[in-house]
Amino acid sequence: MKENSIQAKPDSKTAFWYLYLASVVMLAFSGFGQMPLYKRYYIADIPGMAWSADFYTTHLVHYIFSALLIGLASYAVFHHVLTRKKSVALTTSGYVRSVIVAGLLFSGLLLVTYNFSGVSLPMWAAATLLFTHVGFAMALIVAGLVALIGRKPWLKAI
Amino acid sequence: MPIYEYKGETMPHQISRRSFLKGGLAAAGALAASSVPAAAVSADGHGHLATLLDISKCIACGACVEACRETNQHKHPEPQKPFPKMIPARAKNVDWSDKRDVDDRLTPYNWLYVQSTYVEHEGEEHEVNIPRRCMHCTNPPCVKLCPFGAAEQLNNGIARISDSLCMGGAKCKTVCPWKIPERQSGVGLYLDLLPTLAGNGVMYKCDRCYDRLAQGELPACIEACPEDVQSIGPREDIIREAHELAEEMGGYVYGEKENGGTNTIYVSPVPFEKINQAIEKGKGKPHLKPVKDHMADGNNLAAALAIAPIAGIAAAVGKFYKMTT
Ligand code: SF4
Ligand code: SF4
Ligand code: SF4
Repeated sequence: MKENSIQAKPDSKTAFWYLYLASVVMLAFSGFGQMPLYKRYYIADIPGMAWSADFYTTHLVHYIFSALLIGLASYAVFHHVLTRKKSVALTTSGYVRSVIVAGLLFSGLLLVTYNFSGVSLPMWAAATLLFTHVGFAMALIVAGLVALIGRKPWLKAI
Repeated sequence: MPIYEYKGETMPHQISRRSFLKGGLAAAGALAASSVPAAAVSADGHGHLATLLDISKCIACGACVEACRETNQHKHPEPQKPFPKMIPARAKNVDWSDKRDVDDRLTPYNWLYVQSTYVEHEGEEHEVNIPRRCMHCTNPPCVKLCPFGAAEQLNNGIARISDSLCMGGAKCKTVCPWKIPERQSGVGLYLDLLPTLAGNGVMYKCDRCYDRLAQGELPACIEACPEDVQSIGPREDIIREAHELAEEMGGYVYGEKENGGTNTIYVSPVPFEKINQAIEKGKGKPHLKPVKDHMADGNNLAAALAIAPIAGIAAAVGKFYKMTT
């Protein structure tokens, strides 16, 4: 993910960055909402948040923002390869975050496949897959916070 | 979906208690009785097995309920007391351990019960008794949506919750169209993690006697029934026989299409809408309403996930094109 797709602007000014932020925030919220937390912890009691306790709704929200993240990731990769390969490169932080996003998307797509009728997994495999997905999500949150605090961009000029 | 094979022998379409008991004699030259279900029901067999319940035969004797409790007693919870204090207070401990005898609803200690009612249909009054338990959906939301992977669907179609992994958050119950799983606090993994803050026990429900089936035995409730209400077999055969039976009695089928399909097919001489209106419904007492496929919306939306990379790539190519021209 290379959100400062327009080199001259800082990360936080591009449409790409806003879309990426929206997808990550909504995915994190709807993703953690797959655990029975929001009702127990009164989040669903906040006016306008009742939907957060409906697992089928948060499931759909998670899918919608996954589609957005997949679109953004595909755009970023192709944009980089086609247009900017010679002028910018990933920083270490950018590289780490790219790997985490790739892991998130891959484990997520396996989970999407698991939800189809006729697909079953042994309990250990489903549990491993779920915890891998959650692990990548936590890693992205940590890496994102580290980057934010340390002001580490995704890309550097070469 | 492929189904199991009987190694070239004439295939009994379904296995009821009587035919199961007589199997060795009746099916001369065919497989021994005990190996019939073994071939049919082994956990790593091919294809789902379904049960057919001819509710016109059920006399509400309760033998199945009793058999389920006895046979599965070793799986029932033995909670530690006192229960952990729950935070926030909204999360309530649920304790059935002092009410183990309750048998007029589903509980962690009662995975099957019989709904009884009277229904008037075409000028006749019918007594209707319906054994109720988990439907074993063909694409079970309780399994697929468990956030901890604490449930699984076996290859033979059984939906099963693990008492060692389940956290008791009850999401399986919330997403189940029939609200089948029931919670017992004071047992399970949450006690070893953050018992006050997360989890609240273990969810229990019919596991269709997966362990008996794996050993070639019939589910206890099927074996115990004196009226041969239930039979079990490959789903395709059970569906066909359900329709034949329904046609014979001018009756109705429930469970074939509900929630996208289940492995529990009821056949009744009276319409299920009428039964649903008449039965007592509520906590631990599931309805018999039509049920849409709960996993379908998400699975349909999955198509958007396939289109997303194409859109992303198209945008990148478009930008590249604009820049180069
Ligand atoms: S009836 Fe409910 S508990 Fe049973 S398999 Fe379907 S969703 Fe799961
Ligand atoms: S199949 Fe087994 S667990 Fe399920 S209701 Fe019958 S006896 Fe009980
Ligand atoms: S044992 Fe058979 S007849 Fe008796 S209640 Fe159960 S299903 Fe009905």
